[in-house]
Order: sequence, then C-alpha cells, then structure tokens
Amino acid sequence: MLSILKGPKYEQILQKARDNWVEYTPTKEEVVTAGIDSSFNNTKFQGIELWATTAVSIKSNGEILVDLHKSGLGSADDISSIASKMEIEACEKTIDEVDMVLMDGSLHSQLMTRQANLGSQIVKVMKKKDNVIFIAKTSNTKKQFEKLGSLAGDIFYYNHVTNNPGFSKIFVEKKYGADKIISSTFVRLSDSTPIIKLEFLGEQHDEDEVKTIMNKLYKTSVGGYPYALKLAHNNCKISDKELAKMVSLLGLSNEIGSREVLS
Amino acid sequence: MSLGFVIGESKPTFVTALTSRALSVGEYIKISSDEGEILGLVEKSSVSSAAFTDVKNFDEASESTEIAELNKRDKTFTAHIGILGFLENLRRGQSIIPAIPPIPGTEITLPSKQDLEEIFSPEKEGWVSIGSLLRNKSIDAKVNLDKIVSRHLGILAMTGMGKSNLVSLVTKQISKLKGTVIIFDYHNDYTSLNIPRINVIDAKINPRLLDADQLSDVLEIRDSATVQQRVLRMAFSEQVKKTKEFWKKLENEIDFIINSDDNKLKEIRSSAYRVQDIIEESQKRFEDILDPDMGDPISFIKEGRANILNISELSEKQANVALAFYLQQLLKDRKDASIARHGKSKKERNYQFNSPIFVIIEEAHVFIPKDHDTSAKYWAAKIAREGRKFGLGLGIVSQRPRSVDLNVLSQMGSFAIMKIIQEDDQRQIASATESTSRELIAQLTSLNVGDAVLVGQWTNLPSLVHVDEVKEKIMGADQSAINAWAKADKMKEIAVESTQGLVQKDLLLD
Repeated sequence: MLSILKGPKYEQILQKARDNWVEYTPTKEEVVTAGIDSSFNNTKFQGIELWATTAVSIKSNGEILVDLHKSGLGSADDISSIASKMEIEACEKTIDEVDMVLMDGSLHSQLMTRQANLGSQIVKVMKKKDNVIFIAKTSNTKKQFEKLGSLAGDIFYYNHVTNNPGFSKIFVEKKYGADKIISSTFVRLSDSTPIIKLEFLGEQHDEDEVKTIMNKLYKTSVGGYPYALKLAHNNCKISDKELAKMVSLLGLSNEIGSREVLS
Repeated sequence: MSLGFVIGESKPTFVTALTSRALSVGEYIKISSDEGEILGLVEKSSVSSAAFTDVKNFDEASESTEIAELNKRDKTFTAHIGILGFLENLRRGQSIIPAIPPIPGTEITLPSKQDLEEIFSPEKEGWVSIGSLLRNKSIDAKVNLDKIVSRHLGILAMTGMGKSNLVSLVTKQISKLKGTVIIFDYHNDYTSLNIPRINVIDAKINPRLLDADQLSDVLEIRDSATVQQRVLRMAFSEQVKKTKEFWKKLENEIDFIINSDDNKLKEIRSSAYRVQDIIEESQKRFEDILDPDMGDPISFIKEGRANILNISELSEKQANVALAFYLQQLLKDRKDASIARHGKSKKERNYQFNSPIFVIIEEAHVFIPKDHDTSAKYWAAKIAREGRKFGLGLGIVSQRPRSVDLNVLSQMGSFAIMKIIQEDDQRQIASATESTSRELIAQLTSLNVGDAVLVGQWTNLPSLVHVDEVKEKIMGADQSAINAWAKADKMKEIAVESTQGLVQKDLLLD
C-alpha cells in the first residue's frame, strides 16, 4: 500500500518533513475555549424537500453558548451555505465570550471552495479579536511538498516521520489576497495521536504563538483532539431519525406516502 | 423533588428514565400519571459518560477524566424501572398495573417514608418484620407468615449467603406466635438455636413402621443387590413387624431361608448369609438410629414449638426414608384433623396436631431431586400440592436450585432468593417464579450476605431486603480453620507441659 505513494522523491519528501518538524511537548494551560460546528440534512418526499441546518457553539464543560436551528420545506440547493453562514453567526456570538474559538474544518476550504462568497464575512469576524482558529482532523492539502512531486497530502508525510508531540513550521498561503492570508501548521498534541491542522488568519503568527496555542488546546483534548470540537459535533448532528421527528412534528408523517421518510 | 423523567418507549409494566443521580437497584420510585400515582422498582441502573465513549487507550482515558469533571452534562444516569402498580391500590395489598403506560416526559420522584411503610410494613395481624428494605434502611420489611404456611416458601441461595439465618428468623417469629415449625436439620445447624419454645429431637427410625424397600434403604443394602433385597422382603413379614423381639425374629426368618432344604431357597442361601451379616452389622452401627422399641416418632414433635429434628446422624438414604415417613404422617394427621374439624368425619379421634404446621426441608436438592424419584420427593410434592388445604406449609431450602424438582419448586407461593451466581440456578428460579423479572434475577449475583429478593404472596410487592441477623443462632457460620489450628496447637503445648510436670524427675530419660 505504502509503495504506491512512494514516488521517486519519497525519501527527499520525508527528509523535508523531518526538517520542518519542531518537537514540542505542550504543558497544560488554563483557558476557556469553545468549539463550533454545523450540520445539515434533508429528505425528500412527495416532491417536497424538508431541510434542516444547525450550528452549535459549546464550551469544553458542556455549556452551550449558541444553538442555532433553521429548517424549511422546498428546494434547498445551498443548505451547506446556510450551515456555513450559521457557523459564522455562532462564531460572531462566541468570540467575546471565550478566550479561544475553535472552528471545525478548514479555513482554506471556507475561503476557496465551500463558501467563497462568505470570505469577507469570515475575515471580518476572525479579525475582530484574533482569537479564532480553524482545526481540521483530516486535510487534503498538498502545498508543502508539491514541488518535490508529492502524491499524498502534506499530513501523510508528517504522520510518517513523527510520533512525538510537536508542530510543522508555519506555512503561509497568500494567494487569496492580502486580507485573506492563511498561516497553517500541522500539530500533534501528544505522543502517537493523529496530527491535526491548525489554520490562522494573517501572516503575523510565529512558533511561540503555536506553542502557546498547543498548551491551551492540550488542556482539554482527548486523544489529541480538542474535546470542545467533539462536543460541538455531537450536539449539532442532525440524524435521519431527528429529521423523521421533525416530519412528525410538522404533521407530515400522516400524509399519504410519507412513510419513506421514516425508513 | 424531581428525580428524573420517563424517556423512550414506555410500557404499562416497564419504563426507562433518565435521572439526576444514579439510582440503586432495589430503590422504589413514584411516577405521577392521570390515573393516579404509580410505584416502580429500579431493576437495572446504568451510568455512562460521554467523555469516555469511544475512548481507545489508557492515555485517552486519563485525559477524559479531566473533561468528565468539567462537563456537568457528561454523565447519563439511566434507570430501568419495573412498574408495580398504583400506589393507592398497593396500600390495600392489590397490585393493579395501569392500562396506559406512563407518558414519556413524565416526572419521577421519590416515594415518601409513609408511602413505603404502608406497603412494606403493614400493621396487620400475621405480618412480621424480617429486616429492612435494602435501599431504605428505615423501612421495616415485613412478611405475611400466614401465606407461607398456606402457600409454601422457597429459600434459595449460594452457600454462606444467609439461608439458615433466614430459616432461624422465620422459625423464631413463628415460635413467638406459638406456631408449630419442624426443621429437618441435615447438618446439625439448628440444634443450638437459642430461642424459647425450642424442642430438639434426634431423629430415629422405627424399622417396624417401614416397608421392605425402605428397610433395605435404611440397612444400606445396595440398589443392585436385588437377591439380597428379595431375601429381606421374604423375611420382613407382618409377624416380624409385630413381634416384641424385632431383630431376633427378623434374624430367625433369615436363618429359616439359610437352613431350608427347599431348592429354590438354596439358590439364594449365599445372599441370605450376606443379609444376615448386614442386619447384625446394622444393629451395631445404627444402634442410636434404628429403634424398634421407640414409640410413634411423630409423638416427639410438639405442637406450638420450634421442633428441630436432627437428621445429621442419618445417611442420605436413611434421612430420605425418615423424611418420607415424617412427611407422610404429618400430612395424614393434618388431613384427618382438618376433615374432622369440618365435620366430614364422624370418627372420634385425638389428633396430634390441631393447628397448622410449617415444615422446613434443608438441602432440598438431596431430598427433592430433579433427576430421580425418592419417597421423600413423592411426599414433599404431595404436600406442595395439597398441604394448603390442610394447614401444612412446606419450606424448601437449597443452595442448588437447578437440582431441585421444578414441579415442587414452582408450587412454592413465596420465595426468598439470595446471592446466586450460577446461570443454571438463575434459569431454574426464573422458571419457578413467574413474577420475578429477568432484570431482578440478573441482580442476584450482586447481592451481599443477608440481602434477599422477596417475591410471591408473603410480600405485597417484590422487594429487595436486608435480612436481620439472628443473634440466637450459634452454629452454621463458617468455621475458622486458622483459629482452630492455633487453638489445637496451644492445647498440645499445655498438654505436654502438664504431663511432664506430673512425672517424677528421676524417672525421666535423658
């Protein structure tokens, strides 16, 4: 399996990854963080579509700061966009309440692919207190080793050359414009845990700041992943079962032919 | 104060609730409903932690401990509750299950002390305290003794879990009421029971009262020795039974077979010699047990007393024969007395027992076995079926319920079930006690010494109780080998010192 990913410069890439890796064992630092995540789901029946979106902001202690819901009947081509907007709204309502806001996913994907039209809004919110970080469990970006002909994402190579806690040298992406510069680093919070990707807005971030943030994240992380984000994910998830409940609440389950919704 | 809420799918007999704290198995709760307040029993209780779900290794578990402490929503307390009936009806001893299940979202609360006392400690005649509710120590757990005499009682538990303590307690309470109890004491556990109105009897067998097969068992003639059994049958005639010199006459009859010139008898001569030996040997070996000159064995049992019938000296077969005899006679006596009392018999007769009797069989799996028939089992089964009509209650006590005959076990109207680990035993109990739920049976493994699940007619409701310790019971506890060895060693030293001191010094060898 591994051999497929071994291009001619495989060893060179690994060496580069090793060179980029800064070993650092975080120490727990007290901080109030909130995790933000959103979710959407939809179901069709009798030519109508029922959709629902949620966004949640939650602290590591389980206190829900923001809980947003939207739902509707009819075509919803852009429910992911609705969910993203709600995430930004939740973030806006959270930044003054906590020390650090953790957004689930990738800033890069928010700016570039998912919701490019929401870019300026995100930037505005993130700049307000400069306390918002995007955290991705998985990352597909192939920025750092593309010149060496990498086949896998950057995260793959860091995972292969390291096992210890630490972070990769900050990588700065400027191609989205001067106000949308993204600084990113791959981080491992404790021994043998999966690597996560942190993204910040702007280029003014240095290694000391990454270390401080690692200390803050480490305080409330389980298995190398911030618990607030796990809680956010669990609290905003809209399962098919929940959609079925909504169908029932709206009185649609009694409609003829509506049973497929529940199946 | 709100304790939690009914969630998920509820049924008229069973609900699940999410609660603000972990509830204990055996705790009683109250559910409000439009039809009235409902009482429920916590049959299963679980706690889960969101922080610890999906935890894959030690490090994650360690990290999760901090998270779990931080998050007040982390813990989920789930209680599975069996519905026992409307509180109002239960106060009157009626268990009426609601027709409509409690609606999810219904609040659950704690019942008051008074609510529980009215149900578990009724101030009625015949109800006596045997301990306290396991989860509500301040509430006396009372049982209805009338019901165990009329509908029988099964006491089932692993060894050392408090069976004989409960037997002693029931005996003590019946004795206080001047009732008649008979315990067939197989391990000499109760002879030292220090309660008033106790009557200890060493069980003896009058061979005249037996039939040939029973005598063969008592003399320990092997089951496979059919010719020897035939010899005994031939010799054990009605005349032998009636004669004054019982053993001599029996031996004479065997002599007759040995010395006979009849060709048919010659064939069994060698077996007859063996039977003669057995009879001679038995007279010596069982001198204290086999007594042809004793009066009616039943006459030793005293009405209104706690009669401890010590059968510990008897072999298993002898005990079986003795038990069958006593059970048969007791049933007959109670039957005759009851019929006479109801004016169905014109016979003028004095009956030994004029009031109900409660008979307790220890080690029931020995006498009422599942896999083969014994005469004791026949009579025990008969009492289990018919005894209630004649005021003869049966209590069976066993540490191996799986080996007790299910027909007899299922005739028991009430049960005290203590710690049982074996699944086979639990299955047998579930088959014998229809009213006991699977959840409650599953809890049997977690009970401590003295804890018991009481089900059946002797309680208003299934209950988990802690049985009081009977201080008057001296024997039956585990013996400490270590203490006994230390004591024995000390005694040895004392013996050596004392004897040496008595010997004249000049007589001592170097």
